Amino acid sequence: MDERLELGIREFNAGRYFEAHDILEDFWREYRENDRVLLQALIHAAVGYYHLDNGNPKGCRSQLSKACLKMSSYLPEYWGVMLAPLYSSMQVQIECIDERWQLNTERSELLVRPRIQRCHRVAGGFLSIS
Amino acid sequence: MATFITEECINCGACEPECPNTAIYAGGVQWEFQGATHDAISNDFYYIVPEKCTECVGHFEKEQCAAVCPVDCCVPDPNHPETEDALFARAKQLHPDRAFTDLSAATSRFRK
Repeated sequence: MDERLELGIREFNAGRYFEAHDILEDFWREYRENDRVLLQALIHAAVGYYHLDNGNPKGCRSQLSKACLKMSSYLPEYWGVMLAPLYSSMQVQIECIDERWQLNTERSELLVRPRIQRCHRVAGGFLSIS
Repeated sequence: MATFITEECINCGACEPECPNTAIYAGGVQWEFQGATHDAISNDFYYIVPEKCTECVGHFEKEQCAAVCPVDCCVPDPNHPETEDALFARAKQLHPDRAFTDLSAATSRFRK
């Protein structure tokens, strides 16, 4: 797979969400296969957490929702990327944002920033690596 | 105008060069139209000038800003729906030197 996917994931995991989106966007522009929507899902995820870190929970919620929608067809794993944990984290983040708006509560998960894990298949199962 | 940029914009700038009407400006940048300069509509992120947007009618089969936006933040404005005829008329007004052909699926999102 294109090294930009790897680099984008590395930036994402380092919390450099704008940089992650930039790298993945560059790749997304050129990649024309049907599964490019998953690249866009990862971009949405990066941008979502970027907005969260920059005090824009509304933007975050919208982006994470789009990420989940576009990622759902590729769960639990695709391109050696563990999507299910990221998907779950984003769902929780959306819940946290909704609860803060509706109930004015602050869940600790609001502070959680997921890491995207890579994996490769071994006989009968997955081996997760960072 | 019926396309606008939401607050999800990450200011990547991908949309700006794609607009056939130069209707897109970076946040904080003044916009120009018919010799006059106007204050920026948004200071925080890219914005689309309503008077200059034709939703790409007359030019492309779909809005080019939306096509290149990686975060899907160039979206139809439900508060400002416009007809194909109105948008095409604006396109002709914005480009008086261009000879537009009749609209087709290749030049209007309304004809997919």
